[in-house]
Amino acid sequence: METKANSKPKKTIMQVRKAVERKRLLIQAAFSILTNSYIVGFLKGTIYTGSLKQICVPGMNCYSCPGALGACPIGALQAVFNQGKYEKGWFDAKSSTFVAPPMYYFAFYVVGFLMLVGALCGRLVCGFLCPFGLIQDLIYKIPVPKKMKIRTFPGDKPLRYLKYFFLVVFVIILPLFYEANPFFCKYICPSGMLIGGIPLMTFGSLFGNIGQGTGTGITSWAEAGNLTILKLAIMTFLLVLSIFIYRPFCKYVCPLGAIYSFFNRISLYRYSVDEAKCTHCGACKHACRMGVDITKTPNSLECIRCGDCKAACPQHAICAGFGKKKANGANANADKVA
Amino acid sequence: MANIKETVVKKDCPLDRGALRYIVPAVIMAIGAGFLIYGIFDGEINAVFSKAIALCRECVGIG
Ligand code: SF4
Ligand code: SF4
Ligand code: SF4
Repeated sequence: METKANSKPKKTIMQVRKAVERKRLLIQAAFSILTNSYIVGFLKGTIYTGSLKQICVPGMNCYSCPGALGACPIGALQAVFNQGKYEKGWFDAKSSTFVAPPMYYFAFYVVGFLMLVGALCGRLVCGFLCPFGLIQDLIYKIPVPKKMKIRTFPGDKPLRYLKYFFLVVFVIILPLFYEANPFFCKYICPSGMLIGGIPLMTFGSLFGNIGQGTGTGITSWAEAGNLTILKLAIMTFLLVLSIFIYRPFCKYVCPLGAIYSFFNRISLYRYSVDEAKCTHCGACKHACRMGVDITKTPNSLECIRCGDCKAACPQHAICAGFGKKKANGANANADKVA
Repeated sequence: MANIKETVVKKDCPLDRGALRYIVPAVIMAIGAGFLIYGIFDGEINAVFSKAIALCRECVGIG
């Protein structure tokens, strides 16, 4: 009797975990396809220029992707900070440049959008709605010996603060006060290179460059320079690292994840652990690839709301949702699947 | 260990407690919506649009 009771939930939980993962992948894929569905862009090597581009998308989705229908919030934030008041500018004889003071010291539109999304669901965006998160998830599926999948390493924790540095310095301070350049896009972001640069440059090289009438690529590899090499190197490093470490870009680099992380504690969508049920078996901590112990910090800055811990909990002690919900609600499926 | 069906405690999820759980995000969302609308009417949205529809050379690594 005891053995039967022990073996049944084990099998069930594995099945539930797989089902949860499949469902999440489907949602990620569907949303990424939906927000990058400008097929003409891929066919002609151009980008979408219609009015939808005024609207930000919630995830890290480069607006230079041929299929992108919306604007990347991190690119948009820098673009706004880069706007100068040219009528109040001056010529700096020392550097022989025209200096214009920033027009916007606060990006109401983009920050408002991020507050809306963040307060609604926090890093649920990272778990379900971000194309670059999906890309890393898929790469992590590449099979290598288990030992080579690194769960944590010395320096893992302090490195997580790096994303806040990129946010403050590369996305806010430099574009706002130093010069009109989107510093994060220009020197760091692998998303722009992967889904924008590579397809557009390749298209341009294969079918012709910008020239009017050719109707083809708007750039080509002929334009590649040192910056291209730097960005390709960062992108390759992070993508290869994604085979061994789960979502390294999200953990250490992404300024958008950094912004949403602040909302995890106060967003409408929240996680919680029912202490009355939790036996502190550690199954949830073991399931979490972001290195979170949900029993200690249910609304950790690092939690991407993927649901793996919830599916792994044999006691159905973890609950998640926007509002009132029975603790055993969603996980009741665990028994049905078996 | 008991069967998992018997371990389910008939109790509301601890998520539910306290009105603040709803008030805080609602207030932030309201402020966010206000900012967003202000940004639209202030013309900030045009800065976003004009950047998004011209190929960003920095994004693609040639800028
Ligand atoms: S951390 Fe950044 S790249 Fe990762 S899923 Fe979140 S928004 Fe996307
Ligand atoms: S898996 Fe469930 S019971 Fe085990 S420690 Fe986590 S929350 Fe508690
Ligand atoms: S704590 Fe749970 S929901 Fe959060 S990242 Fe880890 S497994 Fe996913």
